[in-house]
Amino acid sequence: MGDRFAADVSMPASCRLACSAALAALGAVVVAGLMAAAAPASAADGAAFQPTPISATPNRQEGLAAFAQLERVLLHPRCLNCHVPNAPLQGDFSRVHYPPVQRGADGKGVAPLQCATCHSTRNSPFQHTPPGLETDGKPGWHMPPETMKMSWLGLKGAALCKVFREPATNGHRSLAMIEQHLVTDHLVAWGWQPGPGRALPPLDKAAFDTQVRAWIRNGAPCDATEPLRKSIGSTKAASTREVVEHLRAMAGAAAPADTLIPTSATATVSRSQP
Amino acid sequence: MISFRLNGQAQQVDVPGDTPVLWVLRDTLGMTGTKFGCGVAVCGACTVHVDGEQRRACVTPIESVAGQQITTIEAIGGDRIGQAVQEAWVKHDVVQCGYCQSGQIMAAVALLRHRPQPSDADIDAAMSANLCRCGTYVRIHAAVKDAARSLA
Repeated sequence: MGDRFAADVSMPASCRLACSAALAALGAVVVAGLMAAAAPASAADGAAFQPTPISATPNRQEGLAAFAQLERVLLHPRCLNCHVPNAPLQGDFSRVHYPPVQRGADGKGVAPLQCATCHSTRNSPFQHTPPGLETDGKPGWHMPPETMKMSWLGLKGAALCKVFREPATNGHRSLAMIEQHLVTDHLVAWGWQPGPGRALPPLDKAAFDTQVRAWIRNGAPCDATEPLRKSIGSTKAASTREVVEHLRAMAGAAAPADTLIPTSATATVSRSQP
Repeated sequence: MISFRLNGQAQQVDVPGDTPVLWVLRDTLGMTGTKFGCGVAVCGACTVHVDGEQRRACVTPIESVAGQQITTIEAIGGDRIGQAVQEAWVKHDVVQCGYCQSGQIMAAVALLRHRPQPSDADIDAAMSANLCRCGTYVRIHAAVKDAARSLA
């Protein structure tokens, strides 16, 4: 992650000074933005997320069995309806979505028809009503973004597992970030509180979380032959801290990194963003 | 007490936070231009704008729009695009029974705000989220195109 910000040498000489100043200013703005974004969540979200380490003696068969259970949930309409190539699907039968909304660059629809047009901040007590979700007090419904569609439609078994596991196709998530997303993200958790008239996933949330941890603990296997994973990678908090440290170095900020990202990025409840 | 801006004016209401915006408009504030249609965010009759984006007022809790700007059909004529849409609606005699039309106009204004020169497909896609039991869709389509031309 840090390498992305060590690109000063690639600047044309003619603009190096100006570009450096601009990057430093941008860094200051981004650091300030990250601090601002971090503050409210840290107060609300409480305890820290602790990722599951990979076992010293991972068991491939147990890992594969755990993913087989996860797969049942991933392919359930509560998850699959938005993990699709383009427009979302709808309902327990994954029908074409009415109205004909599209994903949009940020996964929140294409104006004037956005997810928030009909999906408000909470579920309705009535059946056949668009479900709702609140993120920081505003409508939070969304799909994965255009740049990382995370489509699972038509996939199963090892093929689904690899799309789900690999950072290149899963939203740049390490195993630790996958666990945090699945276990703590409030949009994922909505799948188990979908409002009236919608089927629940085949595992309950606690069992789902247990299977997530079992899959990772056993090396996150997707098939019978490839090497098991030995590292869970960076957590979201560590990854964010790396970015902040590099940006602060560029911006010349004086505050220690620990004061910039205190607890929010390790929070138990994460606020889903595309 | 929940505070927001309604059609450019500061407004406060003393209602439970989960009260739908539509109830606040019609029952608390007596503004009945925005209609109750299906009550489940499917027909579009209750469409209002929140900070310029269309929202289904029947499923939008009032607490979620605190501090934001709500625009309703009562004030849309004060907007340049809104005025053009209303004039096109009259010119094309769009309205039959009229019940869905405040939502249709709010949707049309939102469309033209984002796509000043919408294609036929753009109009069909955007306006298909608003139902009309009288079947005035052809006139709605023509009026949106006419409004876009008049704004060019």
